[in-house]
Amino acid sequence: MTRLFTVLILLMSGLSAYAQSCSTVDLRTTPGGRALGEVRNQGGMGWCASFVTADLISYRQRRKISGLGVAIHWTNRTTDFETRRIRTRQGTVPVLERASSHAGNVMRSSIGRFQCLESDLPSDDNALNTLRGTLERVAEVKRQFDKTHQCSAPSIQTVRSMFPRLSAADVTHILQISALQDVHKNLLYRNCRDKYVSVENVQLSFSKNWNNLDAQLTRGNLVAFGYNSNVLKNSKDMSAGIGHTSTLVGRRMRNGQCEYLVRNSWGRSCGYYDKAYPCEQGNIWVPKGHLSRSASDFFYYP
Amino acid sequence: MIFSIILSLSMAFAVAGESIKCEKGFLRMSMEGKKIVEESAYCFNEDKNMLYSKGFAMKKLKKIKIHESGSINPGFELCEALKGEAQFVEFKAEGEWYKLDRCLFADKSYIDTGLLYQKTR
Repeated sequence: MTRLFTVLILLMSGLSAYAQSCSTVDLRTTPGGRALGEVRNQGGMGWCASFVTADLISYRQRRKISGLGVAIHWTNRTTDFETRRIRTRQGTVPVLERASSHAGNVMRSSIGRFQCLESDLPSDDNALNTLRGTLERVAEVKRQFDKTHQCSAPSIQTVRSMFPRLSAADVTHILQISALQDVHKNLLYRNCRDKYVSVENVQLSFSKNWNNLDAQLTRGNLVAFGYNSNVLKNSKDMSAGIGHTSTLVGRRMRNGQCEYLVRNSWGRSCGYYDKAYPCEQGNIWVPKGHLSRSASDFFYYP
Repeated sequence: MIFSIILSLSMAFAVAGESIKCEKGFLRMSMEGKKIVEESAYCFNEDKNMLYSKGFAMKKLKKIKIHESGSINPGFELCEALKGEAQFVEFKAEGEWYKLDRCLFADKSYIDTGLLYQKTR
């Protein structure tokens, strides 16, 4: 009888501790969360890590940072836009970084630099080829300029479609003074010259400890994580991996299990995700058991 | 505005549990830095995160398996595999603009990439 009582007490205290570690959190309603706005859409570019980094900075700074700006900072050379590609059955697809395995590096590269606001450097505001074509066309404009030393009105328009705050004179000046490998970065600096957000005095922390992740969420910190995105599309596929990066913006207990709210960067549609997961405008509630198996690591600005 | 109201073909029906509304409205997108607005008849759901051109041949969509990178938006990869053009687009519904994307096919029909992904799995 005494033994049964002890087991019951232990069970209840265990459940209580579990419930505490799964207290309800919704970072979307915080000032930082409101600055994030609706989920981003990386479209055809493999720049999830840049978008996640932009989200972490946006959340901290309470101003929406451009994911495209982070990606351009991260990419060292202009030619990376054209040569760093992944092969698919349908052909090759350009990527700006190798997703989450490099996410920490993308984030580290953002520290100590200035970042553009999303309003000044839109990341998903170009219908044509969803920016990747524009990146390549901007490099082509530079090549043509080096040959002819002239910049046509359509060429200037091409550059300004990505860097909307530049005047025609700005574009010509940057093309004149920049080497090909620096042209995107210099256009970016000029575009955001007087309205940048400085990212300084922040330390990035990495962890593989789930308790630490819970503690960060409880403290109101946005947490990024690397994982295999297959789990989002198929709830039965919980294979581990590091192919993708997203942020966690919420936590709740539902039907006796702890769920985390994944803020993905594939836009507001819920069509990509397994119907077993409740989805809210591109934010997906995924049970802890599923995430813990497919996630590789977490990082955050403490 | 009056033109839009007169020609509004609004109707509501249920597809797979979703309340869908179809009407004539406007699409907005950036092309080479210029905002372009075009008239179009389309259908959308209550949450405004589902979109397709009115009359889109949903039944013609077949199951397809593509290699997915795991990082890139899989709907964009799928659209490319189906010879469509993936675009970011905004559509107007109930007086507001909603940001989404679409896969535009040669016959000018379109569907948002998330719904396309769902229907072809």
